[in-house]
Amino acid sequence: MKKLVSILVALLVSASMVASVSAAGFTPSVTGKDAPATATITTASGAEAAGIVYDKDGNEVGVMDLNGLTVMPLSLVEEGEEDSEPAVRLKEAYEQILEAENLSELTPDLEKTLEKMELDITVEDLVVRDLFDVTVDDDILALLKEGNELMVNFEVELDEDQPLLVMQYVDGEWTVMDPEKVEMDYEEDIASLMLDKVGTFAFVTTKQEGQTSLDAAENLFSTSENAD
Amino acid sequence: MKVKNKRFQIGKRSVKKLVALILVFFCLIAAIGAVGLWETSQRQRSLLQQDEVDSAARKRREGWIQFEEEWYAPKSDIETVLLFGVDQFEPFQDSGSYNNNGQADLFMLIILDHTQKNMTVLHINRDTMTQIPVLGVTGEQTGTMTGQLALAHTYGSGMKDSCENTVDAVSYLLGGVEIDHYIALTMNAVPQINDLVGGVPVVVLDDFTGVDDTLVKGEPVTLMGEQALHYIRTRAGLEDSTNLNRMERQQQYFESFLNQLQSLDEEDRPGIEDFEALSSDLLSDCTINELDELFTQYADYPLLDLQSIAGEAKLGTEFVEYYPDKAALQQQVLALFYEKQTDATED
Repeated sequence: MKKLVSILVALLVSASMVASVSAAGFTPSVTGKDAPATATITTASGAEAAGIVYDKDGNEVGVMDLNGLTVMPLSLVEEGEEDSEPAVRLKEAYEQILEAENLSELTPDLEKTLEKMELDITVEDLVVRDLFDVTVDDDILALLKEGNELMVNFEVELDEDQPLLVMQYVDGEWTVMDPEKVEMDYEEDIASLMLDKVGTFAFVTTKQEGQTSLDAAENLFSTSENAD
Repeated sequence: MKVKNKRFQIGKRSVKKLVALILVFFCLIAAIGAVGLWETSQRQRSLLQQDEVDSAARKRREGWIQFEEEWYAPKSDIETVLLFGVDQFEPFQDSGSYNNNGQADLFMLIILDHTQKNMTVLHINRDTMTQIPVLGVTGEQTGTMTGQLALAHTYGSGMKDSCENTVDAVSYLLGGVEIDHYIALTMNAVPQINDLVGGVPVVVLDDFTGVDDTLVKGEPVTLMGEQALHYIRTRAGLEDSTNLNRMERQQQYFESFLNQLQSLDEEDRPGIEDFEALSSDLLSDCTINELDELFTQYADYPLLDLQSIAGEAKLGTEFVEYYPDKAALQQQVLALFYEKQTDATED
């Protein structure tokens, strides 16, 4: 009897192993990202973190773990959470962007920022690429209230001639982040933001003409190895 | 005599001078002539080059392609329809945002050749890596991203704008070929359309045990209702769960669907009322009458070929990425959409 039980157990174990192997072989289908994905940052001690809090002298005073950051896009406001503070902020911000004829209606700071960045473009050239809300855990929030800054990285793919400006919606008002607090790495497609507060953010860049059929033909019929 | 001799000597020198002058004159004339000729030939060459540049630019503007020293013009009497599924069961509705969660799937580009009166279908892998237009919050293009073709539909509200973005991405992948129409279907539409042709017979290619036990590998079955969706959509739980394997089933299904449709009398084929009933699960730039025309008039075109794009599937950081073989795709696009131009046809 014991022998029979052990054979049955062995069969069950091997059957479950086969199942887990085939389950491991399954790769889920790609899904879209509703907001820019965050990229981890390496702390001074070598740990991976969602963000690092720095004091005014540039010293690390806090580390935000991977669960401490929530990025909520408009399309992922869950049922029953429509009245939450971030959801309301997002909705308001979205409607204001849609209603504005151009972005300078939302804040005159954009023009000043363009002048500061010495870019040869006008506000009319700009569009909002992404809109999302950022919340952090209470410990990080407390550190920000003490006047520290939080560094967070986002994955953003832009052409090298496209600037990245970041608008923030706080207490019903739009402001533009100081361009010195926004660093765009065009090779790695990473935007690094130094935040003094969290809330709803809009990534702003220049609008682009669509790819023409000539561009597409050039891409396919050029001589490199793989079509992209 | 002395004087005479002197005169003779002077005359001889004068003749030499005269000859020298004449020679110099002729040399000058020859030089001026040569420069003139050189200038004329340069001007002609430059005009010819300008003509060539103008002619090349004009041809490109008209959609011609120059590849390996040869010119190709778009085939004149073809019509293209991009049929694709959207991975959602809910009816098409505005997401209320500038993006949505409906990835596209099952891309079939139907190429109707009205001269030859036949059709060719290009089945495109949803994981094909290509440039996708990124639409911003107000719907304008803010750049491109490199990603799986399936993602093109996630930009925009999930309605017309998302479908057009998908069309643009497919066109870009295929070197800018014109796509005349699109038809997008939700998952819910599949069983309905399947049943409108009386079901679709197939010999089951995979073991669906535990997924849909009515589908037995190697057994013939006429797919009805949800069975059809299980057959062309399922990956999880199958021995070979790759999209490439699923695409084989999708191709088998598509061919059989077409046979089934063509076997029906015109009055039994899906018509205007059926398309109206499907309206919440079908999105197209075609009017209902145009859809009706596609199903009644052109569905009888024999299927010349059902092709897919050669390439390699690789596991990326998170998801599968399919990289087309560029050389093969170039030849495939030329063969499907262009005609090689000889000197005679160019004139």
